[in-house]
Amino acid sequence: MRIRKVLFLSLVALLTACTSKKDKQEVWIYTSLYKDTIADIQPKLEKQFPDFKFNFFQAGSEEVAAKVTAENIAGKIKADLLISSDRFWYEDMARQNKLHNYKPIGSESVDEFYKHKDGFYTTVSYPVMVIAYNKDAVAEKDKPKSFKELSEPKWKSKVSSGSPLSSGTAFTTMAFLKRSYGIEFFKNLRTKNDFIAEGGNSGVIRRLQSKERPVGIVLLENVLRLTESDPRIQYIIPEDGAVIQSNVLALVKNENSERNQKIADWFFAQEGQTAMSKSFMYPAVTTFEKPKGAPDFSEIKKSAKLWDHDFIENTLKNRESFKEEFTKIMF
Amino acid sequence: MFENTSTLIALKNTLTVSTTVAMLSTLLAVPLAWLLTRTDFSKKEVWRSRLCLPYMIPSYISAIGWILLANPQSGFLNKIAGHAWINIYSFWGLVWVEVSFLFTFVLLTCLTSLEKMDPTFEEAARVSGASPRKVFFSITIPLLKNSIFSGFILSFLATAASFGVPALIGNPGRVLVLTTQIYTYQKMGTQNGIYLALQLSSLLASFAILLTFASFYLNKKTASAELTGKSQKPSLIELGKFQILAKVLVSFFWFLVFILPLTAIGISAFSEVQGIISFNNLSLNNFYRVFFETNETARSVYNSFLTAAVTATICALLAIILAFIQVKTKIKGRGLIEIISSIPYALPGTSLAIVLLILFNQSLAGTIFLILLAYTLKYFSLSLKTSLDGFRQVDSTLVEAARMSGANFLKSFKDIYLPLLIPSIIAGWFLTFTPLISELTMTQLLTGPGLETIGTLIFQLQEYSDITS
Repeated sequence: MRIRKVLFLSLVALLTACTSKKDKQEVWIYTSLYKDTIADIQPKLEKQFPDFKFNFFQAGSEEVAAKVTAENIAGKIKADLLISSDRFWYEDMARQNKLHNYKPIGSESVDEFYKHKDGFYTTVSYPVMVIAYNKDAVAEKDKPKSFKELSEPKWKSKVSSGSPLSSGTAFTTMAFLKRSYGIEFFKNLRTKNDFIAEGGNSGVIRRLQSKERPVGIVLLENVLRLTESDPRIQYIIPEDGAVIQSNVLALVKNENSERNQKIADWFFAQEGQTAMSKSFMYPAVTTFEKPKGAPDFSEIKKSAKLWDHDFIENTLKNRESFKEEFTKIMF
Repeated sequence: MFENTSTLIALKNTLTVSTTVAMLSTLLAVPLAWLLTRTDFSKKEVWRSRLCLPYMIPSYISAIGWILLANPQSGFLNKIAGHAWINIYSFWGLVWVEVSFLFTFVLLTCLTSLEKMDPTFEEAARVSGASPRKVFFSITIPLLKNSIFSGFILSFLATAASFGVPALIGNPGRVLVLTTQIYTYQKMGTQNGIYLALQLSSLLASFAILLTFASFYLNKKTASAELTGKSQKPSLIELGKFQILAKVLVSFFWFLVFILPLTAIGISAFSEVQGIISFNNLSLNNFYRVFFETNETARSVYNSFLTAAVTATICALLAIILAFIQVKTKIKGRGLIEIISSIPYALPGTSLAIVLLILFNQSLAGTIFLILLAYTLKYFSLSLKTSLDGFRQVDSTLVEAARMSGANFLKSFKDIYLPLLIPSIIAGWFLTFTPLISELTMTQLLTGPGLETIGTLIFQLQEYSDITS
């Protein structure tokens, strides 16, 4: 019993300690940026805005979406800024009138396809979906050249990707591939080539490293992060176009919009954009430096699959039926 | 909800997988528990702890270990044999991985029961000339029924609510389960998606209700082995020439469920400079940075141990009180305790977390209380079930004797129930504490500033972390 008391008291002490420093204005950023990126930007933000205390909720894009949606059902979204990579969700949020429209200073040069026309959200960086292979298992001369090629018999039991059911970036990629090659493409991948589409990008990397699936559809940033530690893993920019993803920044509609706008601006200026590039994503303001080890963004863009409003509209509308269709193919 | 064909398939699969897992767990654990309590099997204490170890490995680690061992393309076991003789991506692969750590539920509930069970019944049968086998099947098993069923329910519900293992193994193996569907809905990020996910989760909750009812029915039909005043150490069955055989079998089993998958992970981590340790988005350097350049690590270890220990202790204390009420009093509606507590246990962690976020967004969100509440709700069932078994085994005559000798209620509770319940309480504490150390699915959604846990810290190293969520 005594132990219990001590535990409880220390708990109470801990809580009061946490809640008593409330002099600074609290800013909540919900994001799918990695922890090391947050560790990088948090002190910089706090230096730039000494009156604010920055709190981060960090989880996968889908968890960010789930948390915000749950908070919304409960009545109030706690987040001030949202940064994550499920663009369709932001589109949805904008339509529900939950976002504040603002075009951050510095974001003027961001391609119009990568931002909301009324400024409800803006891409802050570009993750890029490419093909990767393990050169221990696939010879340089045999490496795949395109997404389309992956359904050929040559790649039977060799390829994996993330699941569009659980990963936002995998979903976007599959939506683009479906637009290019139809749903048949996935049927072939699965029935003829024993394709694995499971988990997120880290699962694909795991299968690449263990050679269980020496070829994978995965984000460029995941490969670049391994440049030093695992040079066996190489990337290819597919001939039929890498899929440029949108890591989106949006402001939640609340009473602090003026303050939040200033913070949004920071993300499109030098420090914010450099942090994105350090996190191995292409900065949305392309005049800033590209990530270490990455090809020029212009090279990616040359063949990349293009976003357009029809595509967004269609995908948003058919999201549930596509996931259902995909479930049927995969299971 | 039922118009959707994939939901029906998922429902069917969830039921078959969970039933098979629970049955296999029982078939494996009951003989083990018997061997470790009723025979002269050597070094019993050591083997007890060893056999509980698989429960401490987070389930996704087990799953990844088995994928490394037995995937058809590059699995170690298949490579050694030269051909793909086992495929982990299958119904049986999924069942095996779940069984490999969930059998510990049945093992622990049965071990604690067997230890406290009055051995005179078995003794009497043996003296009357029954063979050990006959004693086992006609006396021990019927007396153990409550505990077996508790373990069965726990492993059934844990399987039904688990997501990590079915995703890692069931997805490539074409075994669609309810939790996969729930996650798909939830990850749509829309309000409708969340409602659909909660709707499907309630289906899992109904399993919990049905099973708990079934266990009531079974409990009523026969009395369980009660511990009376004249408890004594059971005389042990001599294994004789079977000693070696038993040792070989148990060692082999332990090797399969613990050593083998961990070795696979170890080998792949060290044989190639960058194996499984960096199976993630982060290179080791980045991980190093997270570890040593932020002060989160110490804090998260502290938070994890604190929240897990506080939760396990709260659960244990509540379980003693509530189990007492359910078993030893005649308060109306006491049966609801067990039913209600098993519902959150059957829910996938994310669904429970979302319900809590919706309910407590304005008040508790982002505080350690919400995390404690979530942990307690989710895992209380484990403590309760072990305490219930404990109380059911203590014959009321013992307390009556104490009361007649002048002890008041509190004193008789303290002197009679508590000492007899200690093994159950410890088992319950262990069952609750262990998975909470690396809990991620709920923590991830409920965490606030300064509330990092081991689970959220190693989030980047993994995709799924749940043991039962």
